[in-house]
Amino acid sequence: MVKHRLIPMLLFKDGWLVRSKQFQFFQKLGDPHIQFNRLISWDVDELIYLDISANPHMRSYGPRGGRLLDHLESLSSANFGPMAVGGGISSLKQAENMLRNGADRLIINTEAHKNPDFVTSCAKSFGSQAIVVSIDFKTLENNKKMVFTECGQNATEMSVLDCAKQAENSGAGEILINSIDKNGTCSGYDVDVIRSVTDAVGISVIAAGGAGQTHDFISGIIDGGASAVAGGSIYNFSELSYLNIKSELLNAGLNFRQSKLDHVPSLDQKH
Amino acid sequence: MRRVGIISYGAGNLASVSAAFVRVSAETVVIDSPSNLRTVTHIVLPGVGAYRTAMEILHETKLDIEIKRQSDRGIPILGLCLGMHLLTESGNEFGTTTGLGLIKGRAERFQQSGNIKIPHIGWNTVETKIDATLFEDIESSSCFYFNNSYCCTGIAESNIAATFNYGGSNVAAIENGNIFGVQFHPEKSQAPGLRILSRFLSAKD
Repeated sequence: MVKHRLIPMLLFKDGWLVRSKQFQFFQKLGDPHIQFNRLISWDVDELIYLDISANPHMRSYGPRGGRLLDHLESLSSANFGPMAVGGGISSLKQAENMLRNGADRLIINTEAHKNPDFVTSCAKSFGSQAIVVSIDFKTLENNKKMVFTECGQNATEMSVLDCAKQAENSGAGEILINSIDKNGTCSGYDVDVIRSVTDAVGISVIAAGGAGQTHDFISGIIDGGASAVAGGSIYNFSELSYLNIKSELLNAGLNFRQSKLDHVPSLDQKH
Repeated sequence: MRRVGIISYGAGNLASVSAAFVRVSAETVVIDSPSNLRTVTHIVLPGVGAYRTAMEILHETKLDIEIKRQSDRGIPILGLCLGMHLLTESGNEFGTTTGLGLIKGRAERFQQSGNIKIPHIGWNTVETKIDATLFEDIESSSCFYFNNSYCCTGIAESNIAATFNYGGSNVAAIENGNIFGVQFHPEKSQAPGLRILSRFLSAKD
């Protein structure tokens, strides 16, 4: 059977790699290429790279300037593993540009919720397997789980479940579900919401928001029913975090792929 | 020097296929017309897009005829994911479309069985046949990256080079003479994927 995926999530904001807490506080971590290159040498299952700049279509002036799109070709030229990319995709032209420059899959958020037909057009042009719909949510005081768009800035009237079903019906191949409250807190996923989504749709789900230790990933898979588990902060500050977490997940008996340090360069030894 | 012609049919990430072949020491050229196909030693049909649109483009550009002509000359051809589906006789994505017909079989949507999720996304283990050319350096049960809603069926047993399990046994790779296809994305499957591409390049040594 297909393996679960352990997915590091990188955030690009105005030319910097950043860490986010609850979509409100952003800490600059440095050059957007360095962490990417470190992760791909860890033989990751997949990478998610999101451009969360206020305007992802405008050039910025961080360490290397440009938009994430401008970096994609150079980032992906040395990456022989899968990468899903998102940030402000709202036209077929932008979607195609992302794919052409190295994205294997597109992550669509705001436009998917404003205009579900856009997801359908993307699925028709590139196939459902290339389309991930991303849902950011907050828990309100009445305990309702409501969807927010525009990087958490805009409250919608939609519930998480309605949004997830709509994404599936519009042709999305996968759903990325991210808790704004949990984001960057390392306090564990909102497993109940993840479970409610995985029970409601027939497509696979990537859990995000709150992973701080190996146990959280295990819980996302077992309790949440997620096919893949994503995290950001957990990879930014600890040594060999990806490989260590991967071995712990395998030791816990979960169906993950083994990752090896410097996997690809070992190819040279065969020739 | 091996010169790999990567067929362009609109959408799709040709750059990653090209980068992977360059990584295993080939020269690559993107092909959008029959004339520049005549200078290549290997042909690759890449894997993102829709069956019908891809076949329409191959037909309009007359690349379909030239690919078949090169195939008759024995040029090795490798189809990746959708590219593998195009090698078969037909596909049923958005209605039935005639394929290149270089190998017997067709592309159909996964049968929904049990609680499997469609599309099939992620790393899956592949069981290889002992005599499979593409998998010579690969241990059976190695993992490859898949991303598909459609799959090849009706492939002759003798042409199946590898299988994967997802709601039942499915075709992971096909081989028939100079015709090769893989359901997964070798260009996105790290070291084992690059080895497959390397094996394909030596198919005509």
